[in-house]
Amino acid sequence: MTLLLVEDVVCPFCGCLCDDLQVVVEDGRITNVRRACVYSLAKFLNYNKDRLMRPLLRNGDGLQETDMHKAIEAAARILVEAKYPLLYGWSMTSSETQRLGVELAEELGGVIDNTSTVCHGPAIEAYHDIGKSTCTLGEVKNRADLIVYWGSNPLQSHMRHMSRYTLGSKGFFRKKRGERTVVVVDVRETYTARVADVFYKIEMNRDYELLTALRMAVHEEEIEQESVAGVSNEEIEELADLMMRAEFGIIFFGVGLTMSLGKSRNLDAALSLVRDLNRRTKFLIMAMRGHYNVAGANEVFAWQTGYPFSVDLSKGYAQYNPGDTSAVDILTRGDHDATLVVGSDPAASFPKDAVKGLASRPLVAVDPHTTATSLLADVVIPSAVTGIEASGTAYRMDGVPLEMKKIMDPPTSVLPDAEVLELLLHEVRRIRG
Amino acid sequence: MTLVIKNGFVYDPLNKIDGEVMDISLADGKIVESVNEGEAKVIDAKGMVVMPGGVDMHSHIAGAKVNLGRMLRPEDHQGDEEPKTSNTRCGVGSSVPSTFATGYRYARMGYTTVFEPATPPLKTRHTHEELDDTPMIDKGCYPLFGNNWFVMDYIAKGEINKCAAYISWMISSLKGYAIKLVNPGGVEAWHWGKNVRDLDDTVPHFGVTPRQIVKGLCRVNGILNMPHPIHVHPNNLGKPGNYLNTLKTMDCVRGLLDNGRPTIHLTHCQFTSYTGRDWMNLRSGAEEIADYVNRHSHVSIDTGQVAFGDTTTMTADGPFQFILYELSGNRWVNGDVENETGAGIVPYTYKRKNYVNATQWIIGLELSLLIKDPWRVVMTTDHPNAGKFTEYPRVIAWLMSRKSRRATLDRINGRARKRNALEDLDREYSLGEVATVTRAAPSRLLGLHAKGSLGVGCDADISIYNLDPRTDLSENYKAVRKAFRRAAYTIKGGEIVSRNGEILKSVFGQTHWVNSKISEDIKKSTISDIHERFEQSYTVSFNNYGIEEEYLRSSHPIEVKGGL
Amino acid sequence: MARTITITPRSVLTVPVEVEILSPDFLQNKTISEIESLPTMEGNRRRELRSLFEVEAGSHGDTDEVTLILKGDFSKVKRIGKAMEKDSVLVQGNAGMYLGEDMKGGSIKVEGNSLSWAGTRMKGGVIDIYGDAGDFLGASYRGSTVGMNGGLIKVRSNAGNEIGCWMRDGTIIVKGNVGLFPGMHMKKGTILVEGNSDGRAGASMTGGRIVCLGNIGSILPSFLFDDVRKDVKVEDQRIQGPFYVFSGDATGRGEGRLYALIQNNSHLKEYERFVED
Repeated sequence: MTLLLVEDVVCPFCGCLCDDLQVVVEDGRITNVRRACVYSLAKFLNYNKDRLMRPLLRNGDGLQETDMHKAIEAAARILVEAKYPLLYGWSMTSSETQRLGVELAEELGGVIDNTSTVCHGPAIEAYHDIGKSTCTLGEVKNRADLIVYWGSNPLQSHMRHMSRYTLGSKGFFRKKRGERTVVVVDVRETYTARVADVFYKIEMNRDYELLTALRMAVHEEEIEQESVAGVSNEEIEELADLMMRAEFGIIFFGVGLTMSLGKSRNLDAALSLVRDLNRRTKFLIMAMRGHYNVAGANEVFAWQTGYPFSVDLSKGYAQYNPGDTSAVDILTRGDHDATLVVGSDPAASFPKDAVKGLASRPLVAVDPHTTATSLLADVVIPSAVTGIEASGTAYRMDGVPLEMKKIMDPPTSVLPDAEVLELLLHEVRRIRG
Repeated sequence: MTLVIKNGFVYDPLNKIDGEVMDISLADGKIVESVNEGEAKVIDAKGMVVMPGGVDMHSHIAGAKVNLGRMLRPEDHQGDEEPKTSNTRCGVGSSVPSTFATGYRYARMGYTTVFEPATPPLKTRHTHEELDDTPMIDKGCYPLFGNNWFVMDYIAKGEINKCAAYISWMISSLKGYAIKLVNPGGVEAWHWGKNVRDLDDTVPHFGVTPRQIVKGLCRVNGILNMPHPIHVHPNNLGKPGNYLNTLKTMDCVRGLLDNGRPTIHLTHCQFTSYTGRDWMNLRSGAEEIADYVNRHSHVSIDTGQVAFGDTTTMTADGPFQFILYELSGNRWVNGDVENETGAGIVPYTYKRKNYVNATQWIIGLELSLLIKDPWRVVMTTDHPNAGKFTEYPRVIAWLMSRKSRRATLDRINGRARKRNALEDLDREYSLGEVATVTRAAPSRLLGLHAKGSLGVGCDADISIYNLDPRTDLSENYKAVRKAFRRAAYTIKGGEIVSRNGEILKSVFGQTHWVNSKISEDIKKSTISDIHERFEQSYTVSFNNYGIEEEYLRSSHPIEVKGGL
Repeated sequence: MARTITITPRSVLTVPVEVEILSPDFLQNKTISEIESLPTMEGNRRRELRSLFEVEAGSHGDTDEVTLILKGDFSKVKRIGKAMEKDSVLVQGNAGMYLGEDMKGGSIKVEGNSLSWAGTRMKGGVIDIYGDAGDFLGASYRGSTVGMNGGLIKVRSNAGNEIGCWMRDGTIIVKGNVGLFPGMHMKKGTILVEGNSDGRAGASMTGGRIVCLGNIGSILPSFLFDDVRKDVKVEDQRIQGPFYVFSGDATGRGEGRLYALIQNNSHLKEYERFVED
């Protein structure tokens, strides 16, 4: 029996991008991962389930096995013939692959979008208007005495966030639990709310109002309402006070804020609140990014095209306007005439009309696993699991880049995403001559 | 491939050539004595100026903070788009261009080497990824150390050799080129929302002063024999009256090293050359600064010249950027990096009629004109802080032509004009001096021996401008601007990559970094020393911190033997 | 001679289309053949206008005016009326995004609906939409604080969210209902909503006026009761109230005003306790 311990492994699951995992490989199989949360462990132990082993081509109602050459050719043809192809996904792969994705979108004259568009995109839209005061997670670990989770439930979504970076972490200036206060603002009492020091239950879809009331308190302005969003004036003043008296405070926000009524304007208010707080004390804000490299997709798109998501390259140069050039809107309006999905499953998560749009036009899916999207596709290309079977760079929720390792070989003839993209680019260029 | 550039007026200050008509030959990417002209490609540069390719030693073009700036400002990109062509990728401008556009725009101006001057170690992998997507230029980056926890601890304890060993490991590990300091001690204070008052204030908790940090890192720089001096953005940047602290900063390392070259490089000096108590009576301190620089050869500077218009300020100086936000009311971005440094971004417009902006513009030019030794006063705009790099041709015209300065003086705030001396300064840069401050001097200051020179054996990075030195360039400054805006030819690594503004070939340059060599034993003991403390205060694993050489698209290490 | 140019799609448009430029003054001196040759993007394909549209032109009368008639469904066609300075556009159908972008003068009439960003960065002229308008009416571009700076946008049915976002001047009139955040970050100008709003009117406004004759929805905590006024003037009309008037947004300069017609805003009755006797 061979036993291998791979250390300092970067987890390819969520935006925490924990990089201290120890992967145990016995007889060529991963059998355990030390320090991993349950999601991470599940990924490492189950990554070979529902694998796509061979490329598939649609024939009538069914998908039939084919070889890579035919699949690449069919995929390239679909994309080249399209007048407005959409290239979507990108959040569960490396930055090296994302760079190739932008190159392909540019070559084709299509729209490239990543999962920000249904997740933290609204935070980026607000960022354009306000800016933001932020930091890396070690700053929180070392200095934060006030941590606010707003519309975010890390104990269920980002399981090691608190132990690595906030409440449970041992910071240089905050060594003990008692030196930190955790506040949760949410529409229901989540697991995280139960371990918090203070919990504010807020009426659904009223985050904007509460944030505005807090801003008023920070500006030392009286409000004329007795309660806002189900939170009494007294409690609002109490929370504002907590924030202003903190030595180093931070708000972590989740989709509870980005996807509830108001969306980007909820973030407009939150970013403004944090900015205003900086006149009194040190205060910061950070998005609890979902997928492990959605932050990387924003970075790559921005440095290559100038824009972080929803990038329309159909004119040969980049244009950006979520609502116009965003995946869900394009699919819903039926503006597209072909789609390539890489490392994502929009058919499982997009609104119904967008999924209809996705299904109604030629679709190419590149994924390690069978997904709702791959089942709808006309061409399916299997790929390696990045972070386990392929190395590459990923960006943590705070923008820290880390190199993911290759620990296992993919199944024979299954290639890393980056190589699939290179084959597609090559074939697209060949067809166009 | 062999090439000969014939009949041009050559300006090669490192080889003391100042406008001589001569041929330049190149083969296999290097400058050679001569080539077989029958077989070589020939460029007839008759009536044109030939210089080494431009070397920009300080321009914010890649990394986390730059990308935050790009993402902040979609409106900055609108209307300044470059479509994809058969040999170029698409891109956008304008004050924070995308990476491909950055490379092409430098190439069009005849620049062939650019350094990103401020990279936070924890995010330097990002800087390299962006530099790898920046075509046309050779590049490098300067990691930030002036607020680094390990550095401050070593210096507080007086452990300079250990500090040197740490930095040796860091520079090599990060694939960095030089030791950068930004508001030493002040950015750590900013992590608590504070700042340091000046060079002799104490950094909260760490018990060191900025003076100690500057001196300590200067000594480290000497111990490691780094090719470039410490590159310093001092405390109090942007504050009226700050010239005094700048002088103290320059003076605090006087006599510390004795290696016959500058021991401190004061960057974007315009921003730190202010007299006056407040914004109302802000005036130029260029005379005081220039006087010091003229009398002390251990100091080099780059100017940070203002060019009017809309731009984006971005530095690691967190507290300064917050002040600028409060003054301007513009958007504000802040990005603190654990144990190391920070970043701040504020869009800003320099207006001619604004008293402060006009004074800032004056100060940069006064520095350029009052400092006598062109080898120690490099031209920059601290892109994009004082102006976009695409404004270099305009700056060159100001340096070369009193008439062009007057044309601008006529349009600026009258009070600023009257209260400062620029108007009376007659000096006009010659082409040789322009070549010095944009090519030869930065190369020499960086220790890049194969750049900024047309000597045999040097890299064949050459720019040819459609400018006839026999004409009156001072009178005809618009021709100067036009010529430097669009190089007639840009040659990179021996290949013609740009012609009259058209990119003919997309190439990728090399990433220059210092491979600092010290005793293996000392290196190992340093690493084991910091390993535990690292894992306590950082949030990444020690083993994931460094960057492998294979990560770079094209690595060009410079082996430097340190004295440890 | 006044010209009427009629452009009709040859078939249903599927991918986004953009013509350089579908503005009447731009087409003024062009022959039919030149119009048919106008560069047109069909998704990523570079075409000429004729491949997607039929063109007819006629002249009549004495004036110099051009009337551009777009006959059919133009909802996929972006930037109709871009930067136009005079003359008129009539869309006999739906209009696509960015209708009248950077418009300086003249008039655009849409008989159907308009998609989002109509009147973005408009400086003058009139846009009249008979059907629904989308979101971001008269708004700025992302990251910019320069929205609509003059002119008039009229929507006879409903409009969406964030109308008048970053507006600097001009007038927006919506006869029907609007969504959330009308007048977001507004600096100056007037918005009149004759129907209801989903709420949060005037969020982050620094100046300007928003008048709502229907139910204005919730008032933000950053708006303070100002007064009761008996009427308010919009364009040349004096609209009878009485109105509850609020000032805000108090998290900023707070020189904006909200006018809510009392009879349709009974949920705001509690503010009457602030009325000075």
